[in-house]
Amino acid sequence: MFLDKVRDCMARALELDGPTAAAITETTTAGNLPGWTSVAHLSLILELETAFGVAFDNGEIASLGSVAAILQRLVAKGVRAA
Amino acid sequence: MSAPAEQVVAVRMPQVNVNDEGVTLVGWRVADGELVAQGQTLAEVETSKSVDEVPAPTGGIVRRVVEIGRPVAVGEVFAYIGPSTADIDAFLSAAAGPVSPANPSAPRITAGAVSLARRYGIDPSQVPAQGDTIRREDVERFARASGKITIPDASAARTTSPTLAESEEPLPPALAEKVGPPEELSNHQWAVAQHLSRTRARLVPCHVAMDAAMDGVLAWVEDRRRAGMMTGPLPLLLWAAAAALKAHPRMACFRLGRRVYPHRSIDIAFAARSRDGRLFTPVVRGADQLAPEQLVEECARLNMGLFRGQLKAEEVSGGCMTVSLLDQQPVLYHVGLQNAYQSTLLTAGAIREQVIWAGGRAVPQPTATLVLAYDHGLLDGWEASAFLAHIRGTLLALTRPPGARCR
Repeated sequence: MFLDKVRDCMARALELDGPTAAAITETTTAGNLPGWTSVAHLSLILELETAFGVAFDNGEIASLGSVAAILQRLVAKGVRAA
Repeated sequence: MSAPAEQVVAVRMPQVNVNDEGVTLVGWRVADGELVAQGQTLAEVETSKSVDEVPAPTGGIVRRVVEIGRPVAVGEVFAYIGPSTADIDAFLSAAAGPVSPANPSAPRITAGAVSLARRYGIDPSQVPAQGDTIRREDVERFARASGKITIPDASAARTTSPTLAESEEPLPPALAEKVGPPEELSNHQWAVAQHLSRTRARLVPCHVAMDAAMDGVLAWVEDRRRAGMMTGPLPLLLWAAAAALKAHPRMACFRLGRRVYPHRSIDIAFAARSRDGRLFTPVVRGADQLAPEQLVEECARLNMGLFRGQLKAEEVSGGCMTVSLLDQQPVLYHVGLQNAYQSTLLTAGAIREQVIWAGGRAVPQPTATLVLAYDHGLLDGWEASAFLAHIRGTLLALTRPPGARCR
C-alpha cells in the first residue's frame, strides 16, 4: 500500500522501532512523531525519492513535515497506489 | 566549440570564494595537451566551503602547470591555453619565470606566501627560500630585512596567534616516540583550518553570553511542526539576528587593520554539516526582508541543497555574520570563531529546563545560552551586549501575544 511504503521510508530515515513505525498514520506530523528532526527529514526526502522514483524541489522540503503533505505531494507527482 | 586561442593565454585562478585568498587544486578535468572549448571545465578546486569547477577562459590546447593537491593563490597561473603545445612551450621559454615549467629549478611558492607577499607589496619571485619552497616565514623574513615594513616577531605572535607555518613545523623530537604516525587532514578540513587561522590573526576575539527564555520559541516551533512545517529553532535565531543587525548596523561591519567595511545587505550565514560531515556555512540573503516562515523555507532549501551536494560556491560564502545552533547534544554554550570578513558569530546551545522563581514558586523555564563572539578591535563590550540583548529581547517577545503567533 501507498502509506505502507511511506511508513517504510520513515522507519529507515528516522530510525524508528517497529511499533512506532506501525503507528504512523495520515495524521502523523513532525510535531507528534519523536525522531522526526530537521536533520532526519533530509534523509527522509532522499528515501522517498528513491522509493517512489520522484524528485522533490529543495524549495518544497519545509512543507513536507506531515504524512498527509507527503502523500498529497507524491500523488501530485503522479505516484499512484499499487 | 569556440575557435582555439590564437595566442598563448595564462590561466589564472579566479576568486572562487570571496572568503578565500587561495584554493587547493583537487583534480584536473582535462589531460595535458588536450583541446578544450571555452567554458569547458578545466579543473576542480576546493575552497574553505565547497568543491567548485573552474572553466576555461578560452578554447585551445591545455598545458597544466600545477599538480593535484597543491594550494593555488587567487590570481596565480595554474595552466596555459594556446594554439598548440609547441606554441605554449615557445611562450614559456621566452617568458621563463619562477612558476614556469621551463624553469624547473625555481622554488615553489605556497599560496599563503603569495598572499602575504602581495599584502606587503613584495614580488614573491624575489623572496629567497630556505629550502625548495618559499613559505610565509620566508616572506616575513624578507620583508623585515628590507626595512620597509615593521612586522611583529613571529615568536611573539605565536603566543596569541598560531600561524599556518607553525602547523607545518616538524614534530619535536621529544614527542616522536610518544605519538603514532600522523594522518593528513582532508583538503576540506585543511582549508577550514587555514580560513580560521587567518581570521584569528585579523581580529581580537572576545565574547559575551546571556541566557534567554525559549518557551516562546518552542511554542512557535511546535505549532508549525504540528501543522506540517518542518522546522527547528534556527530560523527564529536568524530572524532575531537580522532584526538586531538592522538596529545595530555597526555589527554588520568588519575590520581589516584600521579600515572598517560595512556589508551592504543583511545576509546571514548559518553553520551546517554536509551529508559526509563537513562544515559549511550556507547564507540566507536579505534575511531582514524575510518573515520567520520564509526563513524556515530558505533554511530547509539550503540544508537540502547542502545535503545533496548541490549548493554553489556563492551560496556558502559571504554573509555579514554567522549563526550556529548546537542543539544535537546538551551543549550549554560554545565560543566559536567568526568567519572571515565578519565581526560576529552567534552560537546558541541546546534548550534546557532551568528552574526559576516565578509567582512565589519554582517553575521550569526552557532556556538556552546565547554566546556572541565579536571583534574587540572594532566593538566594545557595551555594543556587543546591547546587540545580544536585542536578539534575546526578540526571542522573548515571542511569548507575548498578540505579536507572536504562538499559544
